[in-house]
Amino acid sequence: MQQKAGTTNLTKNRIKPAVLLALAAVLVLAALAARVVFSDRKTEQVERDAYKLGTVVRISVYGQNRRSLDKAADDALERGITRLENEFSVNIASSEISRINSASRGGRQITVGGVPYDTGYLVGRALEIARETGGAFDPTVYPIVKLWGIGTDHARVPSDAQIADARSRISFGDVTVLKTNGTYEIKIGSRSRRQMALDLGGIAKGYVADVLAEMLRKDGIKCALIDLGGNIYVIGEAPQGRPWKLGIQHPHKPRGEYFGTVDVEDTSVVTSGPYERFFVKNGVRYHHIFDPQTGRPARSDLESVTIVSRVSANADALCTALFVMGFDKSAAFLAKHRDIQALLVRSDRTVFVTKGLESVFRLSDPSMKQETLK
Amino acid sequence: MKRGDRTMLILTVALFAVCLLMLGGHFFFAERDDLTAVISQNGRVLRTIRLKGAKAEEFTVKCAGGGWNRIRVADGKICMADANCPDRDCVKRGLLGTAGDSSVCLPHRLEIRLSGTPDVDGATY
Repeated sequence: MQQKAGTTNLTKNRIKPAVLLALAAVLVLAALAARVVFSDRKTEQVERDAYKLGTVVRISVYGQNRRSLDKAADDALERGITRLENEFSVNIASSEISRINSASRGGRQITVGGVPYDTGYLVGRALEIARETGGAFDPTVYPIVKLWGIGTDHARVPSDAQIADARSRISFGDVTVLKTNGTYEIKIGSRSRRQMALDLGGIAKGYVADVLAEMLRKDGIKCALIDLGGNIYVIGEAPQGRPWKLGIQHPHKPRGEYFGTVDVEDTSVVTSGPYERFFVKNGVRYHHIFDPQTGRPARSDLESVTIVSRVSANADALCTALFVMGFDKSAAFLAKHRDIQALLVRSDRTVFVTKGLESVFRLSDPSMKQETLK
Repeated sequence: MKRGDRTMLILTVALFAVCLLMLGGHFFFAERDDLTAVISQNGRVLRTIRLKGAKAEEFTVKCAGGGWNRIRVADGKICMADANCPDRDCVKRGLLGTAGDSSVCLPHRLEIRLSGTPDVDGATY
């Protein structure tokens, strides 16, 4: 009898912790289930597509309040992209750049005052990058861009004399930017350089992405992807709570096929390559990345350049510059500028990765090999 | 077993069942992520086509200035079959059949984009 009572007590004492343990396990399961079921619902997504900056642009913002997301995306599109395009575009007759270029057509050295902040600042920044890259990136390359017309319906191979004439009008050293009472004054041309023209096409998309990111952050957006025709800027981490996974266009495959991916947060990723815009004449491929020194499409041993930078304007301009420089000069440039993170695809199908990208880059094309830049 | 223990056990089993129902319902009723082609011009959506089981068809989208693009849908894929733009990059893009794929005709400001869950969040080019 006593033994029976003892057994019963033992059973009683053991059941309770077991039940408690099971309850605890089920509570954990309930918490996980609630997270799975409700996490998707609390994040709203607002997307805006438009044809701007000569390409398809897409702004995707994520958050809890749909109305504020709508407002932030609309503002970014209208007050951000449209306003800046109307200042920078060489294809809009009333833009600030067109105003400077048309004034420059009339004389040897001209001064244009009252240039608004964004245009003045960006011309100044473009000139700095031109100096840093020894002219591999040059915002005065427009005479050459216009002459070849690549990407337009009048693309052609110009004569040597035409190229020489256009080259004589390229010189970033003959442009100066002065800040005067909130606006800028731009001097362009010299005695020997007349009819020069500016083109911010190699840096404008990056700068616009920077401005949009700043606008969205000020509007309280903590998660967004800005895609300006393949120039990407991401804010925060992806809505799934992990880094954004971005594909890098394969230089030999159709648009949308990647040779690898990068996992990034709060940064910009820009890629340039000769595959993007070109035309073929008599079996020769002429692409849109010009070498300002030769006035012809750059003959580079690189097939694509990707820059990852928190400043998209820098990424945009440096992609072009490094492509023009070719592998050896690019590697030397990157060794000197350790803060710049890059992926260089060389024509022997080697992907060179700077140290900062080693842990976030994943090569997916098994026919390519990966090396780290020293 | 005490009455309290039994109640707790019943509660635990009931909670477990609710969890299973929640998770099962979530995955069963989750929005089907079918591959859909979104055709837009100047950022305005002209048409969306669910590609799975879509009937084969060809149609023309016209744009200002006499431009046109011929779009073909067949075998769960879509492409710009023909166009009168200068470089015909959109036609060279070929068949689109994976989420995130896109073909853009910049001169005609026309885009086909495949929605769904792509393997990347975005892509540079």
